[in-house]
Amino acid sequence: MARTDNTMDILNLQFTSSEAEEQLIIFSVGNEEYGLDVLRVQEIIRHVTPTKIPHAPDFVEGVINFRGDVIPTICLRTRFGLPPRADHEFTVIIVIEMNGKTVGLTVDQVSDILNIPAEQIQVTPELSARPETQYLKAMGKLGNRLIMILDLDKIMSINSQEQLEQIIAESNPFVTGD
Amino acid sequence: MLEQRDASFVDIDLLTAFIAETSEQIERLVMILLQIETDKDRQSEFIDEMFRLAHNIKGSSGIIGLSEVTEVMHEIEDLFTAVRNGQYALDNEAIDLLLSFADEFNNYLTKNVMTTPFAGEKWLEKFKSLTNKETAADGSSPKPVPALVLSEEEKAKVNAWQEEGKCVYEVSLKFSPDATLRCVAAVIFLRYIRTLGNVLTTAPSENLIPEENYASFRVVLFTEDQLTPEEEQSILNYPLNDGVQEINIRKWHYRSEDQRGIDLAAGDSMAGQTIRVKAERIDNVINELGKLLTIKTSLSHLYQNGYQGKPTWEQLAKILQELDQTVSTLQTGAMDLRMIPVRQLFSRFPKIVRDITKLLGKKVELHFVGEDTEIDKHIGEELVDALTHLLRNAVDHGLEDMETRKKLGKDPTGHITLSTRQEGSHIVISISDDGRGLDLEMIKEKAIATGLITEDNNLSDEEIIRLIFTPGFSTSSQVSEISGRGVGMDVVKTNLKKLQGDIDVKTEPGRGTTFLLRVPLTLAIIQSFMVKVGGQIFGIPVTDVVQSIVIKEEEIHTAGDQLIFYRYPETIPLVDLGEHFRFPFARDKTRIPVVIINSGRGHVGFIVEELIGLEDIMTKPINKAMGELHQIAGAALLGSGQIGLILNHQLIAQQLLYID
Repeated sequence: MARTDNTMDILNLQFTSSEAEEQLIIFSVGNEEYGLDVLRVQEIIRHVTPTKIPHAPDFVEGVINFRGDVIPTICLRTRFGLPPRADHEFTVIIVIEMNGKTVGLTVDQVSDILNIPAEQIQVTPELSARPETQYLKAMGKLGNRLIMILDLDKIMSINSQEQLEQIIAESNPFVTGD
Repeated sequence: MLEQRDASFVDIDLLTAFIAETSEQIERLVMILLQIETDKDRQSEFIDEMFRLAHNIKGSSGIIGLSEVTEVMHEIEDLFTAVRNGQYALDNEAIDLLLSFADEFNNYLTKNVMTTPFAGEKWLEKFKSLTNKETAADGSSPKPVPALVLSEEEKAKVNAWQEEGKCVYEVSLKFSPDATLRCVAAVIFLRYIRTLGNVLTTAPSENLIPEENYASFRVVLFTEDQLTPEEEQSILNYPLNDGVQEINIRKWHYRSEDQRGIDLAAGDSMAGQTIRVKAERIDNVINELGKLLTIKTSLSHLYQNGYQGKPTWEQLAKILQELDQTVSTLQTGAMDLRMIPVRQLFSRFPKIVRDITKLLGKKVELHFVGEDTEIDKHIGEELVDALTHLLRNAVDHGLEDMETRKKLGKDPTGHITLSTRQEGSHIVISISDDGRGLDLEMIKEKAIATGLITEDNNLSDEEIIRLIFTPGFSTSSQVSEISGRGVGMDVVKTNLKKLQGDIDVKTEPGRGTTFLLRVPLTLAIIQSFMVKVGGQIFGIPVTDVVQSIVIKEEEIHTAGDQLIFYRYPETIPLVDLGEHFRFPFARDKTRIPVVIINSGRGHVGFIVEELIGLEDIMTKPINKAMGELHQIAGAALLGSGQIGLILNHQLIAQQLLYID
């Protein structure tokens, strides 16, 4: 636990002091590495077990107490169609600002804060209908590592028919819109 | 044609501030106008303030770039200048025009200010034509009634004179339209008035009389004693030539400074999303925050010193105690920031009442009591609609028309009192009228006619009165423009329930009706009944919890797929929250905890995993990043650090049980 907290402190210190605009926070979900614009990140916190919300979409883990505010957390594993993790030793929540709302993203591990040179970044080609590819903004190359840069604003939006139906089925059938 | 306004160049913060400030100023202007409407002679008293308000709006709209508004305000400013200079007096027509402008402008501010320019053209013309009437006047046609404007010095003289117990009269002389030689008549009349006492001032001023052709003439007269009836008669019948239409005498009543203050509410008000807070209250919060920092420092000292046995614990206990105190002061302080005096909310009511009374030809005086009582801004705003509805009902249905009132020996003017007071952790607002009272027979007939009750229902008076809160009930046999559209009291009641409040009514035939509204002081902290479902904690607002009981499996029956439970004298539908939320938990068949709630349409039982008990909780909104959460009303941070979800119990019950 102490080790994780130390790592967290160093990471938080790093990203708050980073000035360059092109800095990315690098984290992993499953076997892949992803990048997020550092300026969108508020804080990185240790994973806490969230309070589940009845009838919420499955990728919404629940809500947590973040500095006295109640914020929802999204499990990126579930969002990317991966099975949930059993252990949470390295799991962290990246607290970000999304569409004006504070949201936590649960990821497997945070590894780095990096600057990828612009010439190494490529706009994502149309890949496939797999969920995770729809949230990609660009791909970055760093040596032989491939970093997928996420488009945050698309993570919550529902753009596949299948998911839409799933969410409707999950939530209450009588929802009238208040 | 209105073009689309490009809002991108307007600074949003600036615009928000402008809207808040301007609606406040408009509101104030409306209040002054209403005051003047009932007592035209007081326009001089308020003209400086009105001018300043118009001038401010003109200035700030110019900064924002709302040039159409600036132009209209300029015209209004001109109008007020004319009044100030005694060249023009606000009559009913002008006041009506200003009031309807205020209405439209306010509407524009709240709805369209971002998108469209203000349609100022027609207002420009209308205001111009008001002042034009006067400028068009040439030597032959008379000028309109000029305002009687007292200088500060003169006002002081009037007060001093009255304080000595002496009398001040205002004598006015109105010439008929075809009168000739008005100025001569005025001078002769003035000379006669001077024989009765001292003349303070005249309108138009004495040196202007020969120059202009005024339609009327007014004198302020100081006398040692009251005028005798003979003296009054001699003034009224003063033999001038046939050009005089009427002469009036009015005694001025003495009003002390503070009495004058009561007439108009203080100018502080609020609008939209902004809130005005006394600097002192913010300072209080900041002070407490400072203390928190000190506590934090002592904590880190304690940590750095390392664990030293008992002394460490003692210090920790001391710090904890300080922290506890500071946090609770901070909490109260922060709550105070949300509190506003009800005066700010009620300032719109005189206008509303005026508009209806005008339409109905009734006369109503609205009285306020306890306007300084403070209420949570959010609750207050939610209450305004309910209060507006009740006020309209009181004027429309509650009060008799003037003829009937006269016949009954009542004051032809109806009285409605809106009084506010704090009772513990609740605010109680009452609206009382001195009208006819509720007609119990009529309510009963109506309820039978609409099938709410049957002839053989033996209801007490209390129960009959409560019927007016039943959905679909409206006592008015006609649908009128003002009230009685069938939605009414039940909506008021539902809205109050949403605020965890309630409404009650008391009535006395022939004497009037009083509606009592009770709402909590603040919504941020509510008392909640906590339960456990699937290992998680949920809260149900205690106001709707009827009872919590423990039952056995065999007491639960099914009707179709609906679980039911019989408890004398009713059958209560049950909802298994674990199953409904898909948060399963093991059920002990001999001990099933059930919370019975009032769903707004009857009792419903929620089967839960465990009953925890009452807790005061501070509710927090859950941000809408994941869309609307219909069944969850909010969240609360519990003492344990866990999050408890607050159930939207009424909605859950409605969705599951009454699908209609």
